[in-house]
Amino acid sequence: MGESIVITSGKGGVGKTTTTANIGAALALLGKKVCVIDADIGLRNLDIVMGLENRIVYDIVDVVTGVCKVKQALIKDKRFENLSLLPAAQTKDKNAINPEQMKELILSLKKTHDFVLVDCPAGIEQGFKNAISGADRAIVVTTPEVSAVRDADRIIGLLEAAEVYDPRLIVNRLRVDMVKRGEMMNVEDIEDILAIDLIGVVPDDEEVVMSTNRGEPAVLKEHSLSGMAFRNIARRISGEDIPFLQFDVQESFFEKLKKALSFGK
Amino acid sequence: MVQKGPVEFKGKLNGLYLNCDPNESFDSIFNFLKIVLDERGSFYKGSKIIGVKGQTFNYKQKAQIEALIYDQYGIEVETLEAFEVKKREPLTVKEATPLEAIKPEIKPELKPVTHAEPNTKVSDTHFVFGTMRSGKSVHFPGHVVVIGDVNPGAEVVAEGNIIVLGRILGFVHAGSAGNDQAIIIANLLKPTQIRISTYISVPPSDDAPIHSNVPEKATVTHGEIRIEACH
Repeated sequence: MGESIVITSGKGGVGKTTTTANIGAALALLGKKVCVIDADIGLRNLDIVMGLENRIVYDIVDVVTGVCKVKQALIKDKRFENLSLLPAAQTKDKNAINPEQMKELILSLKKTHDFVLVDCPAGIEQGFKNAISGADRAIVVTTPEVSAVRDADRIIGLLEAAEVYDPRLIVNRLRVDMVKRGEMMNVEDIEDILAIDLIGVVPDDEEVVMSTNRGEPAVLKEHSLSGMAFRNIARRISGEDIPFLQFDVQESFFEKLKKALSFGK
Repeated sequence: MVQKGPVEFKGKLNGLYLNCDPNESFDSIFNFLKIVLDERGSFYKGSKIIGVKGQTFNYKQKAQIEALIYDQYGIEVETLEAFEVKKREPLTVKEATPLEAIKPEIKPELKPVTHAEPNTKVSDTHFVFGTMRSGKSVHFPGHVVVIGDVNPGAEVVAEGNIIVLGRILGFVHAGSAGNDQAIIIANLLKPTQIRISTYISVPPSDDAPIHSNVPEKATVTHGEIRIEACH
């Protein structure tokens, strides 16, 4: 029996879909059998981020309404044998399915997969309620912005009310240089408000934007800092104890020289 | 419709009391009570009796009344002790400054504790266990104690005092019914907005640390809300 994890945030645009795709790929890299579900019915994106858009035949609504079997709707990833996607429907809306159907679907997927990741839509309405039903654990994604943290706080409260306990936090798109200058909330501030355990910090990285547009996950890039952050998150999810990345701003040659010359000060 | 008799039900915020004619005998009061309840007993169902005015009954009489009221009509009896009509706090907060005449009493309502009725379950204080996250709200007509933080986006509105064993970062309103004497205490007072009675204040948006070693207290002094260390 596998484990189901919902990836949620409340606020839109903080990187839920990118996070889902990358953690899914990173878990697959570790040899786990993973299924990612796009619960954002009507605004499907996960297939694009994973580069699987043109392979869609059936979607989640077809599965819950019995048009096809779960197996038929699952799309195998191009790069990983053990990663598959259950896409959302684009022509329906959030009311096309209900929490009970979702619960049943996730339960059947858990039997054949190690991890079932659910990409939750933004907001706290029906789509959110569908996505969190059947989740064993939750990962809350936020960015270092006051509005995103506020929404994350509300989401954590709603998760508690829905009896999804002990959610974990991902701080996405952290800009280390801005934090150092004191112009951005730092991770400690966010942890302080939300009071839940951190599972990863992902730095703001152009690589993510590029790989998202190309439809291939950033975790495949050996040297990308964000890819490494996602790989570490995946290892923490599968139970390993990995220390957090220490982000230091890369100093240019000129800055190093300046420092070297001014060591006497 | 029953005409006026030696006893009548009077309604208060927290229940009903029996207003009795001091010159009538117990029997006539009891008989009239029966008639009143026969007619309107179901109307009073679900409320509770919080006292008696005008007469003092002995133990036997009380038991008789209680048996009639509770067993036959399902009206809960909290106590049949003497009831004092207290001036209630004003309910609206519209006025800029509460008038001298309707200024609420400062003292908490201390009643002698009677153990005659073991089923008293009245509480003036509401406890919230755990951190109140954004979107959570508590409104209570007494004091509120939060064991945890009040995060931004959460709100606490109390007619009495608000005590938070944690940080206040959200919206708090103490003495909402117009009690200027209400206080707010927290380990850290950095609310988005703070209200006491009819006064509204916004703390300065300085970059003070969001940790403090001494609990802080907010009160209304000289017509404005002040925050100071709480000793």
